[in-house]
Amino acid sequence: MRAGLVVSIIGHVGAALMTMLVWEASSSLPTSGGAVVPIEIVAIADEANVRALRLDAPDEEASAQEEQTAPEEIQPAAAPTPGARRPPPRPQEEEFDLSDASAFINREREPNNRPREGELSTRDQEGAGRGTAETATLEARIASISSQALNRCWRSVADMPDPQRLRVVVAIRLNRDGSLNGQPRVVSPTNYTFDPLMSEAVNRALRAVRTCDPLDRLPEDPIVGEAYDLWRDQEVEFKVRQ
Amino acid sequence: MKRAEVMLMRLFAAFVIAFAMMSSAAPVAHAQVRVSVEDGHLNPMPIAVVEFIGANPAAQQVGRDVAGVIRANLDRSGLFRPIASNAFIERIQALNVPPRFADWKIIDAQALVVGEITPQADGRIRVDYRVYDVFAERELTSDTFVTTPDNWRRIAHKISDEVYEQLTGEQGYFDTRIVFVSETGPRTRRVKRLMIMDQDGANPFFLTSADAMVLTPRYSPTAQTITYMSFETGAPRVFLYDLATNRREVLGDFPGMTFSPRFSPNGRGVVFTLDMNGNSEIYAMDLGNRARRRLTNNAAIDTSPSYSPDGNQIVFTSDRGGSPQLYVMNSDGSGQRRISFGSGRYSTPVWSPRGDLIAFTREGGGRFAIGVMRPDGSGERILTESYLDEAPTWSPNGRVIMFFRESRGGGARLWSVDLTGRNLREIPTQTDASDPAWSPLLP
Repeated sequence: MRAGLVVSIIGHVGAALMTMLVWEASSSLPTSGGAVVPIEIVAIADEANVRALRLDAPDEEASAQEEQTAPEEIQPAAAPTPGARRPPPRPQEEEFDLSDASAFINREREPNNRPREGELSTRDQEGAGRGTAETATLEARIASISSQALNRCWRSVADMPDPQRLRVVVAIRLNRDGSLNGQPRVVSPTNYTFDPLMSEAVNRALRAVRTCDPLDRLPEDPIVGEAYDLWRDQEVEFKVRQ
Repeated sequence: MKRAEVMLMRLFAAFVIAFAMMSSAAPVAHAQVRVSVEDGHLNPMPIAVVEFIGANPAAQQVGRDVAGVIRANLDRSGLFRPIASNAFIERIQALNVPPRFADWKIIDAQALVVGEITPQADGRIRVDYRVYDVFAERELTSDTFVTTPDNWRRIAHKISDEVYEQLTGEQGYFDTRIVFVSETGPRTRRVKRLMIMDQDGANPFFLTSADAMVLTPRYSPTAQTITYMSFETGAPRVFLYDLATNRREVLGDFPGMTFSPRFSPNGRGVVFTLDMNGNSEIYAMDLGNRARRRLTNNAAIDTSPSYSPDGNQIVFTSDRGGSPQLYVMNSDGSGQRRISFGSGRYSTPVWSPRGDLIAFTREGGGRFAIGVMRPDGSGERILTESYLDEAPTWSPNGRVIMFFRESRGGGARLWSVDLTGRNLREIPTQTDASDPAWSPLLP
């Protein structure tokens, strides 16, 4: 009898812990990188994510379709948390910053009345998590901004023998102002001490990162500027185009 | 019952601990954006070379001269852009004080070279220098030379080589010399003498007299020895010239003409062309025992041999296919195969010291071009073309090619071009000049 009680307690506590672990995993999902997340989850993120969608122009058709195709078992994990409420609709004028031409152009290009990129940064400030599709879009923009800057600072290895071989990956961590936090770390190659050409390729990559320091276009960007947690850590691959 | 309970409780505790460990060990999930950088640029690297400081006016003058030569070397390489000194913010006053990197970052200097000239009690000078990576804020290298004041140019070249190596990852080529054919006098009675100078055109002097015409000088890749062809003894003959002792000697006594000699990579052998009764064949000679071996046997003209840097193969010119084309064979003469198939006539092939390319002269459509191709004949690229571009020679690091260019009705001059086909520059010479040969790095 008492043993049964103990088994029951263990069972219940175990179940509770399992649930907590699942919640933990789901809450960290959106920031773990869009690239590895299946498309189904992207659809859920649009419809039933922890944060609200753009309210003044919802994509009815897409939402309906997504509801139908959304797998049942994933829905509980992506259900709204009690703390995440839809922000009240705001007037359109607030969202259009005409002084910022690039943000304006981005809005114009956004297809199907989907949530506009310009809104994302203001929503981040409201505290809730970020949708997966949103994360993927932001990451693409961050990669593009960093790539543009670093291309200008990188002396290509195209003038070296066998340049295709000289691929270098450097991990960097940035401060909120876009400056380097600590030294850049060479991720690949792992051993190049006795390879003078590869050493030079590594030097050119490190020099590019340092010359481009600070990457101040990131914090200044109207769209990704506030998404520091997304651009804080970057892995930069330097290689010649095939 | 009690034991079962205890066991269950233990199991439960283990569960809880395991969960606790798992959750605490889970890394904070931070997105790591992947950034791809593929374009870049090939612009010259901005570099600041500060006039070396000196304790007295004479030392300061040497300091200015050394910095000037380093700047000129780096600029001529096409890989660096020395920043004008009037843009400098910080004034370097002592070598032991680290520079204010921020002041050099502002003017976009990627690297900084500083130095000091210190007169010694015995009349010599001590040259100290330091090279900094400005953006990494660290010293890359430093060194000290002690030498006679008149040797300051070589010190400047050596420092240039060190800077070049530190910042490009490749060996430099500034502390080298060029031997070439100096041409003077009217076209009908041209005087051709061997001349040698530093790679930047400084310190030129004649090696041979005006009595006999000389052609095709070639440097030994390992020693300060030159081989060339001269009419000194009447018929064209291959000579050896030891620069250390100024001793000259004829290479072998052959019944016919010998020409287009070139050293083997280890410097212990020479490969050349021997013409007997109008048939030119390629021979290799061991300089130790003077034994010679015939490598080609063909009714056509086989000439201009050049070893691969590993010594295993030889590239040469032959007209056995109807027009002069490039061929490669093993160093024992076996496995002869044609590698050039483009339009035009190919000649004067030279294997790169890096081994990856062969430079050549191509003639076609009334123009001459300098080009490179891989040893299998693929990837042919023309680097420069004019009325007459001829006789390429490689810098010891295999990055630069020097050749001579002759304009219509004008004299010949030495030029250099980068392996990428960029950075075409004339090398200043006092007389007309042809047939350059680049030395290895000086010892």
